Amino acid sequence: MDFSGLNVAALLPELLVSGGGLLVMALHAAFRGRQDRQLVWVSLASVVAALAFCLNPLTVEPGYFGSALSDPMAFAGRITVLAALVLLLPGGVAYARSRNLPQAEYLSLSLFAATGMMALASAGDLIVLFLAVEVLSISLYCLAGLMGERESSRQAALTYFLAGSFASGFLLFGMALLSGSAGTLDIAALGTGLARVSGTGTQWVALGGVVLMIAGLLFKVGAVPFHSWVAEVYSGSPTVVTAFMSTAAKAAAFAGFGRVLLALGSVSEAWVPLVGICAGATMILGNFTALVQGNFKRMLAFSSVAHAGYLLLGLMAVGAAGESLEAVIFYLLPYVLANAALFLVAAKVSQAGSGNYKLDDYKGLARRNPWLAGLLALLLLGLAGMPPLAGFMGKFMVFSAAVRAGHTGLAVLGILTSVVAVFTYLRPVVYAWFHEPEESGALNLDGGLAFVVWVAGAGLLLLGLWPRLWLDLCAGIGV
Amino acid sequence: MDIKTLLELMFGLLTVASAIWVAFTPKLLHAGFSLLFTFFGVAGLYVMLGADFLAAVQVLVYIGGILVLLLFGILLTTAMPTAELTVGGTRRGQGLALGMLLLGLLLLAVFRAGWPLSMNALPETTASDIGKGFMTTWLLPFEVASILLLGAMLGALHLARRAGEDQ
Amino acid sequence: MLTLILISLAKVVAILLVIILPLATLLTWVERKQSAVMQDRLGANRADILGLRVWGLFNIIADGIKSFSKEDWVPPFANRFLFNIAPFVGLFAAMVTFAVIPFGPPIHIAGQEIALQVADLNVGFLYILAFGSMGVYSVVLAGWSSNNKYAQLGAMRGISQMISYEVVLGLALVGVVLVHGSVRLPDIVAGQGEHWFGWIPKWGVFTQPLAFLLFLPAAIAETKRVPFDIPEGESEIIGYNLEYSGAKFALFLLGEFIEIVVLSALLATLFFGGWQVPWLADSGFVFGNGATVEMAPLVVTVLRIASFLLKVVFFCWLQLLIRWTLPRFRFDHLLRLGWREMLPLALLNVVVTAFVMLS
Repeated sequence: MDFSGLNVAALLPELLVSGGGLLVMALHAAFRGRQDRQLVWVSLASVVAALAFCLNPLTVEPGYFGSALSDPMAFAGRITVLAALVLLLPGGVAYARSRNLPQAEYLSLSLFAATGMMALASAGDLIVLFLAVEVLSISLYCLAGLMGERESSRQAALTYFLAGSFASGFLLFGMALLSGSAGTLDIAALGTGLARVSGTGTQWVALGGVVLMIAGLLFKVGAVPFHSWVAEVYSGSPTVVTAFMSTAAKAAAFAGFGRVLLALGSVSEAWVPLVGICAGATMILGNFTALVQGNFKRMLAFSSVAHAGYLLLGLMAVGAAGESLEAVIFYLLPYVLANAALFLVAAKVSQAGSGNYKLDDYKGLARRNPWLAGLLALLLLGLAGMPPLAGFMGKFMVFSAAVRAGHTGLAVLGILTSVVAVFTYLRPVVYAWFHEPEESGALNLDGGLAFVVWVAGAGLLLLGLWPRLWLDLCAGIGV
Repeated sequence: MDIKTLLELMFGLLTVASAIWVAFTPKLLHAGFSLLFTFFGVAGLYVMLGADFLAAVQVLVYIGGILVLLLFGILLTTAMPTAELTVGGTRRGQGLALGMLLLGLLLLAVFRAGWPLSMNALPETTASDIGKGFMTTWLLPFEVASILLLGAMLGALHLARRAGEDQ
Repeated sequence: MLTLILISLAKVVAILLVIILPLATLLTWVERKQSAVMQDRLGANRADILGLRVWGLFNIIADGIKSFSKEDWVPPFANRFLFNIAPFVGLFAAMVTFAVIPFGPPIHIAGQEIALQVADLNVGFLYILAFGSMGVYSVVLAGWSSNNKYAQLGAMRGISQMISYEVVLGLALVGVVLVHGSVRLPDIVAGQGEHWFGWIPKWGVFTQPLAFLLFLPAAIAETKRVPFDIPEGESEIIGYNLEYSGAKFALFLLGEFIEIVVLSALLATLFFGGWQVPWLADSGFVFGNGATVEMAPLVVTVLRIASFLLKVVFFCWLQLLIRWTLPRFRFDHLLRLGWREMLPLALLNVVVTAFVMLS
């Protein structure tokens, strides 16, 4: 057997993270659960090591016989996922510890999920793509059910499982038809494979496969018309898990989605109208539904639907006009930072207030903790896309890419819905600064949460002022 | 009609008929037992297509493993063995439309598609080629699948544990 | 084509009529006689025809007549169809396993090479596991279709036992497959014809001792006999075949005895050289010190087939010995043994074997 194409080093970040997951399980068993408090350090060490190897990779050749790629996209996806993990793991462990939930299982499942996400971002063939999607989905189903103490969490896990399995079915069926008619499983070679069969009956089968696959992926990223699970799952799951789903999982799914659409550029006339309609509908529906929510967590859920719409717009530009994935890569990082921090803040504020994520909890937050209120405003405005924050640059890049690709109408729609989004995001800010508090007393952040919020806020500002920082970093690492 | 075509037809009929039964019987356990024949028919089709390894694995994994566990689960759950499923229901139209669409796509694939990858002769033995594939070209999917199973097992064990039950 | 079909048919009939059925029916009597001897009783010795007793061998016939003349009872509210097919499923699963076992070397008749094996599959090893795992359906179907709680509980015990030990069984066999580098049974038998230093045959029991020690109990657990008889527990607790009577109950018993024969054949094939006789090459005996004994090809073939049959008979005897020696496991002990003791050992065996084969 010829192992020359193996190049294990290309997969080092994934190996480190999954190895961390295995180590956590082994240590949990070896110490019979008595040392679970230390496990979070083991996990973080593996994540940080993986991050270090992402920033300074040993190799930029594809590994595992072309199954694991090392392009800028792969590194951007991996770094985004790992960054989300660094921000979320300490909070998740604290949550689990305070509610007597299993920490070791939370950590290893999170690390396995992250392995799947990273593999998805760097997938070179369709089989790895599918399996990676499944790894991340199944780990998240389990996390949603595992970390919950309430009925709604089990309900969310079941809904997520059913919706996700349905989507996986479509994805797999589409992949089978597509790879069969293109004669290859290599994602990058799909385009040439399809070009070979164009004009024959096989082409129609291939296009059917493309449509099914896109439907499955739209399901996974929670875009209209397959968005109905998002609200229930996001609001039912424990907040630490929701944060993970809406940040890292979504970033990875978009990375994989982008890879597929990039490869299918040659048949873009078949899927661009489809994705375009979905993107437009997602932007409208997500933003307007978010606007009327009185529940902060649900508001964030629908806002993440809305962001899926903008990201879809970016992907369309990529597939159609040969634009690079830069806009999407850029959009993801600030989105992930802001969302991760916001969900954790939401958990904290809700815990100190009504306990069920009412927007009213934010009334007078500025009196109780001005720093937190300030950072909350920064994060929300970052999501809304206010200059000079990174969200603005993300939206700017996506819309200008869309205009260059000829989707001016959709870009205008995106700008209009962004205005609606500003209203949505301003409501908590207005509550925090211009309303009287319903409860008095300071609301102090513990060290971990303060770290997350400050890092996310600083990241948004930094990326907004020097957007090339992140893009050059990715471009510099990958080939 | 030669004997091979006849066998293929038989296996195909077995698969489809039992699958229809699985979908339309209101009795959960009957659906489970009927699935046995579906899996068996699929294994037979694999044999007819020269995929002997796949056929053996199909019987071993699906019939000997998954379905047994499925039936075990149904029998273990008090109300399930006698449960009556609602077949059809309110979304019958949507389901029918979707099913017809997928069926059309499949028929298109069967009758109109010319697959770029095809072999003129059946391979003598498939087991060693599959084994080599798993160790080389498809090593990463193989390993990702093992992470998948491990994560699923870990999660399932914990979800199955009753609330408050000790390790 | 026609000759091929005829030859295959002849092989099936030969195996059924020469090996499986005679041995299985004989075993019904041997079991009673052997247990009697072991417990210092006289045992089944009463049946006679006109005063002729032949050590009670006519008990086989008496048993048959008895079970077939009993009422064929189907409990009310039972699922009649599944209830009726359950014993046949078990019988089928046990018998088809025999198809891939080579019971002798290839022979040459009229210029044609005929393998003494019904089906020489490239995936013989997987075939054994696949159909071995189907035996559990007989238990599920019988237990559920009887519409009896006790039968259903028995079936549940049966399923958990059988699927637990199936894992060990498969993993133990992986070691054997690794040693021979093939999943075809004829290759595995041929590999066992070699010797170390010209004297010690490379039988599976010597190359894979741990696998043998794991395979034997796991396989006995699959036959659901003492010490693994919790699924049926005929002596006091009751099991999945509780509602069966008459001919169908006899079919369950027959299935059990056929499983014994098949298991013996598997043990012989995988761990004791199959049809190989130590030091016997195609030309005759070749010993380690260089001495040879020339033999006619026909004699060699007959010796080899006889050796296979002898090994099968020996393992049938051994299984009966085990059955009448050991007490029954408690259920939690049984599952712990399977999952926490045998499974890690089986995994260890695979890993160690893989490393040894690689180096």
